[in-house]
Amino acid sequence: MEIFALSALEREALMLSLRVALWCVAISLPFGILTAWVLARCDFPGKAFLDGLVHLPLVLPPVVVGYALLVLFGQQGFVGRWLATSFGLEIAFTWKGAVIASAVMAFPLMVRAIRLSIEAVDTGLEAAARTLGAGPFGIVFSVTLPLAWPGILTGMVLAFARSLGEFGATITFVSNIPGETRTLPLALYGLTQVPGSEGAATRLVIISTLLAFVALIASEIMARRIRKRLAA
Amino acid sequence: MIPKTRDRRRRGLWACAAMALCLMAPIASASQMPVAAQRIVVAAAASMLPSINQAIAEFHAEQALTAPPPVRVSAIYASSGALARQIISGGPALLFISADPRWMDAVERAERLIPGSRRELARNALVLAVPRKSKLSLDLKPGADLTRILAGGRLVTADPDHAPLGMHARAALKWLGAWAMIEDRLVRVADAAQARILLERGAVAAGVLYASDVALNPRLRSLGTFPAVSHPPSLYEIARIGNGLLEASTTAAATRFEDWLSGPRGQAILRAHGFAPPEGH
Repeated sequence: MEIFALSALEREALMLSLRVALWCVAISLPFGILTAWVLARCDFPGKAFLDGLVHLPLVLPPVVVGYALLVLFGQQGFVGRWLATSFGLEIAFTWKGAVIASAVMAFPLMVRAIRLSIEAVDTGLEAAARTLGAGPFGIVFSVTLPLAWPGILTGMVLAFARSLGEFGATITFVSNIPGETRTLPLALYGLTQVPGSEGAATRLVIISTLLAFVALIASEIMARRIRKRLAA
Repeated sequence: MIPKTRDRRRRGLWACAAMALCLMAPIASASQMPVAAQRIVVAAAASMLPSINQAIAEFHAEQALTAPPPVRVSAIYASSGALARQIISGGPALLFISADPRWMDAVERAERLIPGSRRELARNALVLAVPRKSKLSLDLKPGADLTRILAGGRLVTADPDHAPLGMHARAALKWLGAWAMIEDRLVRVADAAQARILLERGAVAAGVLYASDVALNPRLRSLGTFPAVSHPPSLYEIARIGNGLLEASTTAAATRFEDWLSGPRGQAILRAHGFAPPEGH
């Protein structure tokens, strides 16, 4: 039974990964929904530019994103210095930085999923709501978003999973600090650098795989329930 | 409509042809090489990056003037622990330069070293470094209040789990009596080269770095050298790696670069980069 017990390092990395991933979803969700709605429902000059900007982290090497974040949020970066002097907030090399790194990397995935489901909402229903006297906010919150809920959930799960797997931007931006920024992939990377730690590395591989699998199955079950409720 | 489609199709064909050319280009240029060069890979501790790069450039320049076939050296840089791990799992390096005997021992235990090829290459020291503009100062002796002078800032060094710089920095900070206080302010990066870059960028307040990375560095300043007793010796060794069934010419090429690096030219480059000579020199 002993082999099923998590070591201190494993528990620490696992809990940190979960904390970072949950925060990542929480802080990117409002921005994700807003961006997705703008991209799906609005037409304005520069829309292609915004679209490109949102998708940039998807195609950029993660190290580039991590380095850019370090330059912006580091001790010498202008955002980092401003946050430190005005709010006493330290981002670089802390778990908050890890949240920001994975939120940036996960953002395009979240926006894509939500945008597709908003685009699929029948504009006729929105028009009907308008004729019944609903204001623009009322339409979004009582018609569009409830109908787009499966896509929003998919976006959340994708962002959560992307955050669990985030490596390149994280290690470049916030380094590999035990208990602070050493999430599961970073702990695994650390172990693969040390000769003779194959056993410990294998255990982390299994833990990461199980965690990702559980997240996927849970999302599938939730999505099925929502589809049933929407159909009813 | 019809000419348009044909136009489009023709354009597609051109694109395909261009792509095929791009794919074939490297093959063509490789086959045009006059004498087949002996290619060898050296896996070197990241703290040796500037000096080995220079050594390779000078070695190549010298090769161009002397006997063919030329030897072409390419280098992989990482922490010695990471490199040892790669070599043990069958990485393609023919030479290994380790910054700590512990990782050379690991490769030797895995029976990947060519017996008798292991020799000492250089020595290094550990310093407490800050960006040149920094106003910090500290008397580097046991009991020195490192946390106070950092004033909430962070200290960078390499990962104490596998990078020799980090392993030695941990010992040195324990000798200082500062390890317990500093541990959670420590930024551990993958290797010595990254630690140096982070401090040069000013992303952290101070760092425990190699003397060779600070001595001639216009962007960094040393607050003091950790005494030799405070940490295991920073001892660089080089050895040849047995990589399956090697052709004699390949082995000879690896030996040639190893000898060159241990010889007067190689040693002069290492001295110029701030490394101390191996014991007995």
